[in-house]
Amino acid sequence: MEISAKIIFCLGVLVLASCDDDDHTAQLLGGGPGSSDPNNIAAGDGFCGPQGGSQALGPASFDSGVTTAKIDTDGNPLMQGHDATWNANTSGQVNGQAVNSAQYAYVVMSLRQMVASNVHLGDWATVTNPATGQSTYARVEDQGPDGGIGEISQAAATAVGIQYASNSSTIGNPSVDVTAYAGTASIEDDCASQVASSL
Amino acid sequence: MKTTLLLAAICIAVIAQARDVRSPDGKYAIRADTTITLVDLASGNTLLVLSNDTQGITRVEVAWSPDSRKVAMVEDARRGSAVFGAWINGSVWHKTLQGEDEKSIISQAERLFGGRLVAENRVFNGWTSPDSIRVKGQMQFSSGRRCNYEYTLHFMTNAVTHLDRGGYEEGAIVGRDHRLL
Repeated sequence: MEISAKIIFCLGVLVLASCDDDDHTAQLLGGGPGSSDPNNIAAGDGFCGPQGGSQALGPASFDSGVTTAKIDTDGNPLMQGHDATWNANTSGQVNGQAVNSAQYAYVVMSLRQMVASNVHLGDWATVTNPATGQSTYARVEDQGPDGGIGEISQAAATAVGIQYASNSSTIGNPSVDVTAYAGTASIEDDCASQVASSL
Repeated sequence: MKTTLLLAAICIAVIAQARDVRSPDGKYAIRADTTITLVDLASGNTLLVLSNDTQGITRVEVAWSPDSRKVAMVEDARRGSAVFGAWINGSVWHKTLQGEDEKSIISQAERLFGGRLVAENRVFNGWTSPDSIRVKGQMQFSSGRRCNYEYTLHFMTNAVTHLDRGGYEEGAIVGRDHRLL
């Protein structure tokens, strides 16, 4: 009981001590601001790339290869009740909040994939639609089940021309290729380098 | 400022002590903090960083083998898990990750329960030999249905081929005899 109390106390102290860093963290995380209207997401609607572009990311640490695209709607409150697997939270957070699937281009990786490729939450990623050649920058912001690949946010899907139904099922069995770049979380957004085009 | 740092350091020490999982022989411990490390309790030295980032991790379970020469660890995140292993060879500790050897049981379960796998987690269910431990898991599918499964995790430390990007020796722990429950 005494140790538990100490731990709770200490965690409280550490959380308070780290509050000053929240604003800075918020600048670093996220795939850049997307549509302000989660009901009306348009391709290329204000998504940001990394400062320095693809050269700043270096070689990819993880590549899913071409695989079936799946949509993760987590963090988008408008999907509650529409997607049977919806969850209010994402593993990655911005300013202490879940990352909204409709507003951030993000990708999902399994814990094993992240550990094996040294990729962390917040690292940069790219999403490519091999059928159209469209690509977008994204961040790794959620962790999925072992063996799962090709899971992307609504914003990332829209940015590369992948369509989905209101229950989050993709339309037309689209494919996607996801790459992630280890150690790039600290590269800040550059909203002058718009995406939803060939990288 | 100095007082805050000192207080934080003391707190980290208290938390670290509370989160040690000691080996049966008392020589080593798995220590969970912002990283998860294997430490030599006599010297206090870190022998291995088993997991270098616990962001997003909701639960960690550690299982030492009875002879203290192997340790298995499962990390659970919100929708998935990963199984780690470490073993001592001579005086050197090595680390490994379970590979993606569950594809066939996932495919079988997806056919039976409908939809795609959207979440899974695992727990340990006891060592069956000095080299193998039972693992139980639960899978959830996009249909909303869930199922339980189990398998045996074998340490095959002679099968190591090379290191992955994370520094884990590939192929040293392998899941076998998967079955749905």
